[in-house]
Amino acid sequence: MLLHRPKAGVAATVLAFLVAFALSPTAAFAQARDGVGEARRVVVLNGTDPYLPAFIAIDGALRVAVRAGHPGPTEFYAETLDMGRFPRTLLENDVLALLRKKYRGLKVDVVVAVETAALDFAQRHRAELWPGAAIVFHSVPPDALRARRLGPRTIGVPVRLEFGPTLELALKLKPAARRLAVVVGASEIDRRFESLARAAIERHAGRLEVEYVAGLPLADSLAAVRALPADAIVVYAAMFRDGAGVPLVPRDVLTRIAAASPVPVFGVFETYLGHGIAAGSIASYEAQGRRAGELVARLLNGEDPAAIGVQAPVAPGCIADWRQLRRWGIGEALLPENCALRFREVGAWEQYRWQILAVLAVILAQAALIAALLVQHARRRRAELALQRHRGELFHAARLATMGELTASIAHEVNQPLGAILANVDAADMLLESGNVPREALREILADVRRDDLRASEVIRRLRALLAKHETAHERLDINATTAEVLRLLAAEVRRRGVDVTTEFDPQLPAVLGDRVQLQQVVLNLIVNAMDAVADVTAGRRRVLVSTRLTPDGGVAVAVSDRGPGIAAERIEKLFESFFTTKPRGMGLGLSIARTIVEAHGGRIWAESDGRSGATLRFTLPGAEPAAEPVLVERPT
Amino acid sequence: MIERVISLSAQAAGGDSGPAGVAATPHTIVLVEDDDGLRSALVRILELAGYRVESFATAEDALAANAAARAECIVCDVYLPRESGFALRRRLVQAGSQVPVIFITAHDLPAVRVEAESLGAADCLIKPFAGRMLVAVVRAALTSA
Repeated sequence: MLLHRPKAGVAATVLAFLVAFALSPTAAFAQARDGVGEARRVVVLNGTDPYLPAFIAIDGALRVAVRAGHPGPTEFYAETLDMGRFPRTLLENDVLALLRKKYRGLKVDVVVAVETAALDFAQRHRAELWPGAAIVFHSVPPDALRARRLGPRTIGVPVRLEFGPTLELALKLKPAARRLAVVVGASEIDRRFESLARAAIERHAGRLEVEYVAGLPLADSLAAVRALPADAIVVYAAMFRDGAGVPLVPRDVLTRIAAASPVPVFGVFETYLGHGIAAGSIASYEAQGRRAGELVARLLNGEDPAAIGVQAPVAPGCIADWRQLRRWGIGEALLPENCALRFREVGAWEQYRWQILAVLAVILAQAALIAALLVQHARRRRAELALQRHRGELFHAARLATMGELTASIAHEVNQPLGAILANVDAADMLLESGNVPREALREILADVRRDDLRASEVIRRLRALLAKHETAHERLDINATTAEVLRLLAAEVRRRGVDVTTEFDPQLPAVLGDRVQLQQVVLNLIVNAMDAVADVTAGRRRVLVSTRLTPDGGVAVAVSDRGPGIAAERIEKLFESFFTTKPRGMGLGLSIARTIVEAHGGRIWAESDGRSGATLRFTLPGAEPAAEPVLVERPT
Repeated sequence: MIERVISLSAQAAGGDSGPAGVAATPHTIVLVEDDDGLRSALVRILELAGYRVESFATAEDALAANAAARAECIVCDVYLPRESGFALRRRLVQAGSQVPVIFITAHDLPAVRVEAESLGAADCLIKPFAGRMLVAVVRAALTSA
């Protein structure tokens, strides 16, 4: 590209203007008018509407092929005759006048005639409008060519509109079809398509009952299609204008026809694919455009059109719409070999089969792992619960056994108040017999009866608390009170055995967290053991000391000391083992269970003895956290 | 220590000679029982029966008060704190006392009965027993003494 040198002073402004101008669409035109450069000119003359989808596709491919085949600058001029909508006689003179004006003095190298009407126009007026230009046509069917005499320097790529093969394909895909509806519009082009279709379909006459839904208003066409029986098929040719004179875009009409049709629709144009036809024998627009473009490039490169000649039509092929086949339940197996299947929706499964399988495998593995863990957890939980239950039962059995040894004392504890009640009742009876009954005396007796009754109930309540089966609890306990309650329960036994039991309770002890009954069981066991230990000691010297104190780590220690014969060092080790006993009738479970209970409470139990003068059994329990109190948090200020 | 018991004997024994047919100078019964409730009930029934009752909570207390010297019958619990009822009986026997002793106990054990018999007890009552039963046993003991 050459630029005029700008004059001094306005250099920058002019330069910027020229750059902008050179980049604008009109720049090439300006260059050409000025005769600057080697640009060749191509007029693309469309007989109908250049914006029809088919022509957009063909023109795009054509231009690409021209640029690829002819490296020099090429200018494209687009013209339309619009004879799809308007009769030729109405416009031709005016269009001619306009083009005459436009192309006067402008050398055009090639005219691309798109569609039959354009080919006719170009041939008629080439000498006047574009003298010396070669004509390259496309989108013209062979039948139309046969009826025309092509002038010199006219070559092109015909298009075969495959109504015949399309109908054969349709019958292959729907063998049960007995009726055929051909839908076509009322414009000149529509009529040309109709005649092509009729010619092709005649060859199948006899096999099908054919109905032409031709030249009707669109609404009537749709109604006719809607009313078709199930054994029909539809071939849609085109509808540039309907019977009511309404101009239409054939592809948009197809969309409505296909929506209304109860049977598959077939067609011969590639642009119909994706808009409602199930399949067709179709020549690719891209191939048509490329082939025509290649001819243009060769002409621009200087080849002689006579040497090139009219080309063979682009070979059509079977193309089917996968979605439509699915809609009509037509199996892919019915398609001929090499039929291109478009719009195939590849399911996630087909597209990502291995990834999905891998993810599923991972998920399954994880699920299996989680399930296994859950099962294991449930089993462990069950086992723990069973263990806890068995422990509870063992503790309970041990309590029963210990209390069994204390039966005599327990009976004594209950019998005392019962005896008192009996005596008081007799006393009241005797008073009544005496005739002179002082009310005050009777009231005193009744008060005593009530008191003794409550006393008996209290003994039974304590016994039940210790003997009943219960769920392990975790409550805050005062260990002194818990121990004292055991001593009250044992009071009769202590007396019966003639043992002197003394207590030394530290009043400043923290609470402990635990199960009252289980801890009382431990204390009970230790005291009964201690009383057993002093059984053979001379009366009056059978002493047992029960004491509590604070441990250095803030816990609680309970000790039961006796003045018995002590425990030999080798026995101390085994004292807390199951089934180790020194008693003729003992089971050897008491201290073992005591240890289990204490350890379950986070404590420790052990024995101390010098082996000669008495023994001390001691256990510790951790102190509970102080009951909820406001916690002061120091904030940095 | 002799416990003061709200005495009903004034009304009971004063009006008639009592169920035991006690004379104007009532017999003295010494009761040793550590259970407060039972002790007061037994005192009440014996007094209603027309007896004079001295009651103690422990054997040691009874000995200290030299109650045996005044007693015509001793009603004594077997299991007492420190010294038992049996030990008290042995001491009294050793000291030459011939006062009849009735043991009362909540422990219905053969060993207890055998020991009571071997110590020459007038009777051995197993708690709980009816008040009238004690009165009958005491009267029998006083009669046979």
